[in-house]
Amino acid sequence: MGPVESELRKALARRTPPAGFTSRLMEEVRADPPPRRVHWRWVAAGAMAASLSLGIFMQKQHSDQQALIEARQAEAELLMSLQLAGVKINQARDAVWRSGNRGAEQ
Amino acid sequence: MDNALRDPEAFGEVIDHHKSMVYSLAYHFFGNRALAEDVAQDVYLELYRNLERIESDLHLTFWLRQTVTRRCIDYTRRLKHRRYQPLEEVVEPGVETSPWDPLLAETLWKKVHSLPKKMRMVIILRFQEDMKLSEIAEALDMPLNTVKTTLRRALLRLRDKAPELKGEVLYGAGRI
Repeated sequence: MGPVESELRKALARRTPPAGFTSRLMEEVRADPPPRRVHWRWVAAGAMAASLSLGIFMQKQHSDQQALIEARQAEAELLMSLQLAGVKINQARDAVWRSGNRGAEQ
Repeated sequence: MDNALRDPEAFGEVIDHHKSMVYSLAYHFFGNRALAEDVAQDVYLELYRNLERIESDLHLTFWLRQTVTRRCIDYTRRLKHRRYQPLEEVVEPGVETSPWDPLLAETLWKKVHSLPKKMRMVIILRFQEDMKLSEIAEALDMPLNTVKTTLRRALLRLRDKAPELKGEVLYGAGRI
């Protein structure tokens, strides 16, 4: 070992911390709340419940939307049927009216 | 080993057992007693929060050395714009006394403190802790060859700065 190394070992010898170091630190440790353990089982259960709820919600949204589309189609079909029925009734009424007039003329 | 150490008394024993190592690494790095105590306290609080990661006594020593070195280097970044007063001339009450030339030791200590931070930390780990170069490389997350070069350059610089210390510069005690 050279003189530089030898002197460095002496110059960089370990020092004792100032008095009260441990007690000051222990006060900090006691004031520091203990780390909270993460219960992964509960986290996984929560995530599963959340994804299940989201799935149900999405399914419900989808079926609601489907029902709305079907209701609108049914409404359109009903209106069309009513329109056709109205035309037929008008035609029948006209025919009745025309045959009534012809009878009166004879 | 986490549950046993969470007991304040057991943790106090861990502090007492390693405090001179942790404190001295920071003290030699900063040359400032208050700053060294701050860093040491931060390191121990981090240890308390991460006790479940510690696998053995050997791992604890490695973890403490690695954390204190990283914390010191991080602190220098934060302190870049702040001034702190190194206590180079102050003889602190806790300093162990030995029969060597105190003037030469103080000169050398000042020279160490004037080295760039990574170079300074390599020197401290090598000569305070007597760590192998491979251990220093692991602690500082540096390639082994970089550690060798850094140490050699640091020793050459110190020898140049302190001409009273002549002799061949090796890798510290030659242990790799």
